[in-house]
Parts: sequence; structure tokens; C-alpha cells
Amino acid sequence: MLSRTVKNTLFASALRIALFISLAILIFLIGAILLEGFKALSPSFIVSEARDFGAAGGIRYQLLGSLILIIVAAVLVVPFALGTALYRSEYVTSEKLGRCIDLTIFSLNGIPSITYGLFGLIVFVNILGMGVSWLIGSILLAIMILPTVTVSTHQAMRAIPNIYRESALALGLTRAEMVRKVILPQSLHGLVTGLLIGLARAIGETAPIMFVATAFSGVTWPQSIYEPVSTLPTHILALAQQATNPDALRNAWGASLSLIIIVMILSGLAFIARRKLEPQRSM
Amino acid sequence: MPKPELKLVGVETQTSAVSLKGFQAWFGETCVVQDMTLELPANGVTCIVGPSGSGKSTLLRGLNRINEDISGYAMKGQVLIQDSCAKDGFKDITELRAKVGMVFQRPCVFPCSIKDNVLFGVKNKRLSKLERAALVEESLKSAALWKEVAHRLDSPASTLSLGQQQRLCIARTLAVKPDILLLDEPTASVDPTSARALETLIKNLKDDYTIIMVTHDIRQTRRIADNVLFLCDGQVIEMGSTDHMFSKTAKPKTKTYLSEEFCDC
Amino acid sequence: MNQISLNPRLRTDITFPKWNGLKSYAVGSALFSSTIIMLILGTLLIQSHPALFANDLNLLSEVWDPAGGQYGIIPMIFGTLIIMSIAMIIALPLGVLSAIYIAETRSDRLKHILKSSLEVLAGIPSIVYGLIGVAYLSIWVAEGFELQTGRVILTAGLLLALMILPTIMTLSEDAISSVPRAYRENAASLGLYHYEIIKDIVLPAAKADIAGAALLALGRALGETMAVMLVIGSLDRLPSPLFNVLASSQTITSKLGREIAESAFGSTHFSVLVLMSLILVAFTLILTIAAQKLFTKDPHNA
Ligand SMILES: Nc1ncnc2c1ncn2[C@@H]1O[C@H](COP(=O)(O)OP(=O)(O)OP(=O)(O)O)[C@@H](O)[C@H]1O
Ligand SMILES: [Mg+2]
Repeated sequence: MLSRTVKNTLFASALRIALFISLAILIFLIGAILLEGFKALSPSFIVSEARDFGAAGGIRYQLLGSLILIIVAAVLVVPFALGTALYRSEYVTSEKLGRCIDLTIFSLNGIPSITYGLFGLIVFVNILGMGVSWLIGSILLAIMILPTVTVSTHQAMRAIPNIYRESALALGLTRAEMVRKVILPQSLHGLVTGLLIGLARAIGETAPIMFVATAFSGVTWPQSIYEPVSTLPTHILALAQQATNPDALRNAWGASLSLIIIVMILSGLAFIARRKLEPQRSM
Repeated sequence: MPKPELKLVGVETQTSAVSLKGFQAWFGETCVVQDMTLELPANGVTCIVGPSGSGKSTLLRGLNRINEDISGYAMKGQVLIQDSCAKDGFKDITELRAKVGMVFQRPCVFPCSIKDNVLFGVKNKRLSKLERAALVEESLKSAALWKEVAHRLDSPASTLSLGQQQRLCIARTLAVKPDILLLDEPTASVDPTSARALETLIKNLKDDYTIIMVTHDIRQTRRIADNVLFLCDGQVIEMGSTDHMFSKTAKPKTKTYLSEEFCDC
Repeated sequence: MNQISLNPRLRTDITFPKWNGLKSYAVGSALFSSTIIMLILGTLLIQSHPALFANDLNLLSEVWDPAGGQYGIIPMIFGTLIIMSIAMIIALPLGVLSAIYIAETRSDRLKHILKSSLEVLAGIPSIVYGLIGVAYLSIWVAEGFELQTGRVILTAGLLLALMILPTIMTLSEDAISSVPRAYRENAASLGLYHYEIIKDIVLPAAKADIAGAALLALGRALGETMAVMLVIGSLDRLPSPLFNVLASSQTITSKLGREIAESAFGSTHFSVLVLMSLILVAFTLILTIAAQKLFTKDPHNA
């Protein structure tokens, strides 16, 4: 048996060692990404096309492809997320039904991303016969971030004090007008924040889109919805698989850093949106 | 400006349990307790009174150094507990805290059984089963709780009433066998009946322990205090025996505060 | 409330607007959102049907050989489990201990810096972790153990540990920080050592949330594809000896990532892959729902 003081000292050292290791990991990860990434990153890297299967040139169409995917995904997800949150917060009267909806949405959040890819391959590519198309990618990403956006919007709606609803109704507004004039404006920050967080996650996803929406090389601006795009994550995947070629590896780091910068921008915007759009309530 | 050491007015000098020399407490840039030099006698009840925010809790929490876990807190000067320095006179900080037990304003029972709550402070000490059982009984008896809970020592402590929970907190502190008990408004969050029960308990404990308690209740102070320490705005206005403070004081501030519970400093 | 119902004119005003566009829109979206999960599960079930009911596939064998009609999924399940275990064994103690340090430190600056960099790390896409695995970890493992290839179980487990560490750290830190200060102060004034305060009151009070964090991390580890796929070596065999972590292996996700595009839609091969995905979904759903239950439990009812 160790004495109490010895145990206490050992524990304190264990904490310090753990923190030290975690810090080392943190610094290694961030350092590696920044150092390797900045070696490749330059304005011309961003605007020029990829050549030699990505080992030379830049990431112009990959960047555009990723942006197309998430912008369309955003357009697709907003109406459903808003409607679901609205229903959950303003129309559900039974606790049980509410919990049922929560459960289905949480479950959606727990599905591994590769499964979305498989689902898309089966339903859209094969059964509906759309072939490999960027639109499928956007649809899958929209489904994937639906829970994030819905939950964030719902939380914002739930945070609106009931007195707001009651006084709006007391002023003679109908339920629909009340929703339009009180609930929607007062919960906008939840929708925007959730959407930005969701998109930050969506743009980094590889597994859901790699069989259904993307091609690895030779893709430019899509001419129709039935064409694939190339994206940053799938481009990094292709380059990582040629890791023995130092040029490919360098460009992979460049693409990674670009991707992370976009993720950071989206998360930063989410942070700002929460602060700027959140209504100040005195109650 | 150096201050004269405050002596108890109207009391024969006893051995001191706690003495402060130039004690100051800071939160960030604000000085909450200003340059305090005084001695508190052993045994008996010393009540610390004063308006809200005057630094009563901060002073009390400086005595067992519990404030030091708060970021931004700093102290200056010296705290002597039974003539050993609180900072380095003890083997380690837990030794000090075992000597100087503390009960807080809001009863805080741990989420476990009544028995485990009482034994919480000795959980990591090597004691036999028999010793533990004896300690539980002894502590609960000293805290006047034994009769009410003897038959349900294993039920969760959270099922007790608030007043009982506060006595359980006292029992838990007594189980560690301290010499000094610090009580921060022990009756503030309990009903009047429980408060009376606690007062009786405190009166019974004062022969064996040095009790230093903060209270807002002037009538309570009159009922149970042996000595009174009146603080305002981080400074000691006056200190003396209860008798002196309530009837013989010459200071107008003390007079108004103790009679009208009002202070304009 | 009362005031409203006392006023008869207003009261008729709020008696529920019967049916309008807004409500049908809300109902429609909610219905759609909650059926997607059914749609996904249904699709997986239907497509894995051929694999489930064919009886000569030897699904529970150790041999994967589509050309020879052998579809043993045991190596993939084993690979998934062992990599997950390695990741948890490393990341859980490391994450929780670091979280204790961060939660208990008096330095607000250290706390702030750590928490924001953890948030940055948690946002890094998994493919980038894959790149780190390929460019650093697998090379270090290969050199350290003098292996032909660094794409082995150990590398994948380590990489996964790096990926879930931020999640475990932030969530456990939240859990530990939210233990009421009063518990700590009361325990401290009973003369307990810091270690004992943590062990006897803080961790017990935070354990539900920490368990939730662990389950969430486990779910993430289970479903992680890209990073693992790049460093696992993709070998459809059980390692020999069984717990040789320096052998290449395969997880369910890496298998799916590698082979979905190669197998013909409607073939037995494809159907077995869908079945594996279904197993994966079942596992992660159980974990996610369990984690959700733990998080929503009242923490003060221990
Ligand atoms: N953690 C803290 N950080 C910053 N300032 C603090 C902190 N705790 C107390 N203070 C400040 O110290 C001063 C004294 O506080 P203290 O709690 O000692 O007062 P008190 O006399 O116990 O009041 P009350 O009777 O209301 O309990 C107050 O101005 C308070 O705002
Ligand atoms: Mg106080």
C-alpha cells in the first residue's frame, strides 16, 4: 500500500505527463499541417489546374468542386431543417412524438459517413440510374448535415421565452403570423450557425462522395448535373495514395491546408454568426 | 500606516486559536480584506458579522486556505493556526484542513449514503470496520443527528431535509476531528426550527471546539456568540465580547449595525 | 396565459388556426427528415438480403475469397475491434487525465489556448489525418519496428487514437468542469488530497458524461473510414498470431472504401459488402443512442 501523499504525488505526475503528451500531439499535428502545407501553398497553387494526376499544378477545380457541393447542399438542407425544427418546436404537442423525432434525427447523426456513400450508390447511381453526378454528392452531404442544422435551429427556437409567443398571440396574430414574425427572426442565428458548422464538416468529407459524385482527375467545371466534380478531400486521397512521389505528397499537404483553412473560415463565421445574430433578451 | 494589534475588549486574554498578522486578501486587483491583525481566542463561539460583501466569507476561507483554488486569489501577511503558520507550519495543506474544518452556507451532501458522507474525510485512512462504525455513531451523535438517521444510515444523503443535511455536513466535518470549526452562515438556508436546532448544537460544541462562524442574524449572534467580530468593507471595525459589543461599545458604527442592522460605510 | 384566456375576444383569435401552408410545410419536412433514416436502413436491408439468405457463403469463416465463393467477414470484424480497442486504450486515459489537468488548472490562459486548439483539431477532416498517417506515422512505425511496411494494425490504432483524442478531451473537460465547485470545496475542507478529491467525488459525479464522451468517440472510431483505409494495409486475413499488432489487416470501413466501387451492383460480393455496412450501422447506432441517453441523464442522481 502506498501512502496517501505518495499516491497524490504520483497522480499529479500522471496528470502532468498526460498533459505533456497531449500537448506534444497537438503541437505535432498543427505544426505538421502548417509547415508542410505552407511549403506548397501559394496563390498560383490555388488558381491553377492540376496536372500529372495532381503531382504538378494546383487545385483550382478541386476547390470549385468542393464549393459547388457544399453550396448546393446548403440550399437543399435549409428548407427541411427549418421545417423540421419548426414542427418540433411549435407544433408537436405530445412529448412522445417529440422524442421519436429526436431519436430519428440523432440516429441519422450516428450513421458512419461511408454508409451514406453506399446508400447513394445504391439508390441514386444504380436504382435511379443517375450515374456518377455531383448533385448526388450534394444530396448526400445535405442529408448528412441535416441533424446538425435541425438541432441547432430547434435549440434556438426552444430558447425563445414562451411569453413572446403568448404576447404575439394576445396581440391578435394568428399562429402562422406569430411564427413568421417572432419565431423565425428570433431563431435565425441557430439556423445560420448550425448550417455553417454543418458545412464545415461536409466540405471535409470524403467517404460519402467518393463513389458517387467525384472523379479523380481530368475534371473541370461540370456542364450538367449528371457530371462528376473533383473535390479537395478526394484529391488529397488520390495524392496520399501516391505518397512515395514527393511532389504528389507536397501537393497533398497544400490541398490539406487549403481545406483546413476553409473549414476554419466556416467555423469562424459560425462563431461570429452566433454572437452577432443572437437576439439580446432582457428576460 | 501600521495598525495597532486588536485585542479583545472585555475578555481575559486566553490562548489564541487563530491569529492574523497583516492579513490581506486580493481578488485580482481588488483588496477584499485589508491588512488585518487580530487574535481569536480558543474555544467558544466567535461570530463574524457585517454587511454583505464586507469580506466575511473571504476571511473565513482564508483560514483553511480553501480560497487558494480560485483563480485570481492572492493573500498577503500571516495566518497562524494554534501558533503554526498556515502556509508552511503544517505537513501539507490537508493537515491544515483536517485541523480547521469548514461547513459552508449551503448544505452540500455528496451523492452517496449517509454513512459514506460521514466517513468521506477518513475514506482513505486505514480504519477497521469497527472503528468506522464507532466514528459514524460518535460524529452523528455530536451533530445531534444520530436519533433521526440511526435506522437508515445506508439511504442516500440527498433524502434528508435541508436542516438535517446541514447537520450531516457538520457531522462529516467532526469525523475528521478538527480543533477549529469554521461555519459560513450555517443557518442561512434552513428553516427557523432547524436553525434553532443548529444553534443548540453549536452551543454544545463550543466547549470542545473553537467555533468561528459568519452570520447575518444579529439576534442569533446575541444568543450564541461569546465574542463578536464586526467587519465592514474589508476592515475590522470592532471586536470584543458579546456583552461589550452589544451594550458597552463606544463606537457608533457598531452600535447602529448591531441595533439596526445597518451600516453606512 | 391567464390574462389571455380571461379575454374572450382574444381567445377566439388564438383558437388554433386550422390548416395552413406553414403547418403543412413543417409537418412535411419533419416527416421527410424522420423517414430518411428508415429509407437508409431499408435500402441496406433489402440490398443485403441475398447475402443473408444464401447459405453457402461461409460468412462466419476467416477466409475472404470472392473468386472462390468464400465471403468470411470475421477478419474485417476482428480488424475493426482490435483497432478500436487500441485507439480507446490509448486515447481514453490520456484524454481523461489531460482533461482533469485542464479542468483543474488555475491558469485561464492555458485553458483557453488548449480548448481552442482542441476545437481546431476536432474540425480537421479525417482525410488529413490519413495523410498524416501516411506521411509520418506509418513511416515511424515501419522504422521503429523494422517492418517492410508501416501500414499495420498498430499504425491504424495510433492514428485513430489521435483522431478521437480531441473529442474525448473536450467532452471530458466539460464534464469535469461542470461538477459543482461546492463538491470540491467540501471535499477539500475535509482534508482530502487533490488525488482523492478527483477520485472520490469529481470523477464519480462526472462519470456519466465521461462515459458518454467515450461512447461518442467509440462511435466515431468505429465509423472512421478514410484515415484507417490509408494506413491499414488492406489484408483480408486474421493476423497471426492473433494479437500481432504489427500485421496488416482490414476493417469493415476500409473494406467498404476499397471494394464498393469494384464490386458489381447486385452481385453477391456487393450484397455481402452491404451486409457489413449494416452491421457497422447497427453498432454505431447503439453507441450513439447510448451516449445520448447518458448525456441527457440527470447528473445529480448518482
Ligand atoms: N471569486 C471571487 N472573485 C472575485 N471577487 C470575489 C470573489 N469572491 C468574493 N469576491 C468579492 O470579495 C468581496 C467580499 O466577498 P465575501 O464573499 O467575502 O463577502 P461576504 O462578507 O461573505 O458577503 P455575504 O454576507 O453576502 O456572504 C465582495 O466584494 C465580492 O464581490
Ligand atoms: Mg459570504
